[in-house]
Amino acid sequence: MSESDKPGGDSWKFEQWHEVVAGDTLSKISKQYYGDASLYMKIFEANRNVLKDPDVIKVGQKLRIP
Amino acid sequence: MRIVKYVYIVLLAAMLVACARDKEPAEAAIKAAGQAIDQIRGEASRYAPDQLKQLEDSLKAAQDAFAKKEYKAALDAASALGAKAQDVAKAAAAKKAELTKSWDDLSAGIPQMMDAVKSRLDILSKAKKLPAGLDKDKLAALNSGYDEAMQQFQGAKDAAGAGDLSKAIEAGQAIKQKGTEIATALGLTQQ
Repeated sequence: MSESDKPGGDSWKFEQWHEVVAGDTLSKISKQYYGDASLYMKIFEANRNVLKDPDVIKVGQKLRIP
Repeated sequence: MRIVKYVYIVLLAAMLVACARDKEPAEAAIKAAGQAIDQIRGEASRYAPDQLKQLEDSLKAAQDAFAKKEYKAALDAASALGAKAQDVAKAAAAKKAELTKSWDDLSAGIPQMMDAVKSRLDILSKAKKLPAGLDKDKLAALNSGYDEAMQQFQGAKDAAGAGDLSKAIEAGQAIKQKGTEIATALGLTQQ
């Protein structure tokens, strides 16, 4: 790695992840990260690879918060 | 006594002949050295300025010696400059390659980082309420910081396009620092 990559290490990837716990819903997660439960579809769309239905999430799933 | 006088005259004449014998080669060597330096000046002035300055000082020393009719010294000084010019050209090319790689990394990485920041800012701008730790003023400041960073990125790209890689890299590093601060404030972490 060259000095020009510093600060911050090698990766340019900045993300936030949430691990689903019992009682979570996308609306609840949306409220936690965005302050607004109605934005839950943003999380659903960002996780279409692991979610088929916005009303169905499983404990232990790791969801990317866009 | 007369013999000694003749010996002095002969020796003096021999010295003058020896000196004059070096004049044309010295002149040619100085000309060749000047041309060699001219050929590398463009890249060297940008990527190896200190080494270029040393070369130019050496050429000036050879020219000064020639002006003082010290042809042998001028020839010796100028003869080595062609090879030295090639060494400086190689050093400049190596530095250019290093800077180009650094800029390529920055110019590819910054959009990736700033896209993640923009995505989060856009979502939060639609939120009726904001999450804990974030209020309207703080969000506005983060948006301004993002806009400013993107303007700086455009400036960095312009500098790189104009061939000023050092300036582009310096700006790129500042943008990465700023982008990292904004991302962190938004809860995004480096993976």
